[in-house]
Amino acid sequence: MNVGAIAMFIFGALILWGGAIYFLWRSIRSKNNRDENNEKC
Amino acid sequence: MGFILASVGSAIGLGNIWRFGYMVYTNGGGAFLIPYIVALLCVGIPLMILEFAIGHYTKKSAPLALEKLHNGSEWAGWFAVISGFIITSYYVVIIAWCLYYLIILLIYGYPSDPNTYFFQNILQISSGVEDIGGVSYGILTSTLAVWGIIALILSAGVKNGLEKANKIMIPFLLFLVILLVLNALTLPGALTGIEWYLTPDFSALLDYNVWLSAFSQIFFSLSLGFGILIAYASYLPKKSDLTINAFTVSLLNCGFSFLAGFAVFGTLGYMSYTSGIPLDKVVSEGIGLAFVTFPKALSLLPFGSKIFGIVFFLALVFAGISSAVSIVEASVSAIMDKFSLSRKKALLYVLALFIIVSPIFTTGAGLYYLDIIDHFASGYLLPIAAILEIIIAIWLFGGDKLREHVNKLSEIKLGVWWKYLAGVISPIILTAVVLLDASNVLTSGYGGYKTTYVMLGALIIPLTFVVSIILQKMKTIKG
Repeated sequence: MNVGAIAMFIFGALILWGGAIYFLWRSIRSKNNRDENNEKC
Repeated sequence: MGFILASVGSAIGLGNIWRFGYMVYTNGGGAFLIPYIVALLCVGIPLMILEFAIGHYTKKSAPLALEKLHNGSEWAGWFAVISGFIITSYYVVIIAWCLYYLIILLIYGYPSDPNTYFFQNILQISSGVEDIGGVSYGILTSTLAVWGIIALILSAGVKNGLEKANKIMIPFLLFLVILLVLNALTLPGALTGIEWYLTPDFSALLDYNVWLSAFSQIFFSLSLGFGILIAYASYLPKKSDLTINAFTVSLLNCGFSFLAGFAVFGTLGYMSYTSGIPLDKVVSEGIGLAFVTFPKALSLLPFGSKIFGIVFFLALVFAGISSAVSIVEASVSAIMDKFSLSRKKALLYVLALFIIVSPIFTTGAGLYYLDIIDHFASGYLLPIAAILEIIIAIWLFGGDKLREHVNKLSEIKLGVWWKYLAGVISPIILTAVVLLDASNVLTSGYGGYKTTYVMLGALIIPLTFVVSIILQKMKTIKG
């Protein structure tokens, strides 16, 4: 594969897959916090 | 998690599998990812946050939500719901084609000539728009089966039906697409196909059409403008992080499209390698890719060709159903809110309407009707619905009030930039997309159809306005 294609693969994978995994993790963490808060209330 | 999966299920549709890769390939290869990601950040995510904010703030489905934001705006919500209704009436028929092909594949295996088989045997396509032809009973039965599945999911409610179904369908869909990617990567010629998919042509970035394609791809693939996300967000608990949810849903949707591109181009690369046909001659999108090129490519696999065909069509069926249920839910929740009906009754009325409309697309001329109506429903009704939502929520109600509401609940705080991206940049781009297409249709027509038929298709735009206003005039029954 040429360098341009590899670079775009890394670019797309980092932002789209990396971003999806990062925000999924944050939303799960965030949801758990809220659930704890709700239970306390 | 149920809300995220339901929203992802709504966003991930057939287009993620059969359209995204082709868009990348024809719009500068890997370089297309740059405008695509810019569009995601500037229009996709801000508009998704807006729809989540409207639903969560008002706790109502689209029509009554917009009415609550600004008196006399209920019709704009109905406009979104009716647009979704029109789109679902033929979208379900496309899912039915996939289901029918899946069953045929299971029983008989691949046809020797997929092109003739699909258009002549399955669709029984007629000679033109004026020749309605007969009903394809196989497709009609599959359409009724798809409606049955949707009814079953929605009748169980939001938690036990919609969320549960998406909790099963979305991970399974991801698993199926990963299987297709892994299989593609083991095939000779696959890397050449992927190279075609990703090699960047940065000069394409100077073409405004490439940017407009990126913005429309983002808009249409995130289920914006249907009022679905408003309805979904209205079910969220009081404390919900709207910003993080919007980022998660959008990125999961776009990441899925990017992944599916590897399955498509890897397999097409293999097809080109074994058949000796240059890759640019085998690349296609939409129904041409799904029902002609891909079955042909998969039938050439050295082993497991039938299994991977089943995996592919099953993925299409899941992607389609997870989107269709969400659009139908937008109609059902709107009717429940307006007329204080039970879920079962509202679902029954909506399904009865769909079952009257959908069969027209199972006739010999169904593909022509679908093509013309889809052009105006997806290309015009949805952007208009989104522009109306923006005007009512940001301009008339106040973007700052919604921003405050989102910031109270979310870890990532929105700055004033959000108001300008969602309230100014997005409507300008959506208007440009609509006007550019309108000028193309006016100068060159559409799809080679006679002007009369194109104009008849365009009639759905004023008709949607009229029906929306009639629905607003009907008395809201408070439960």
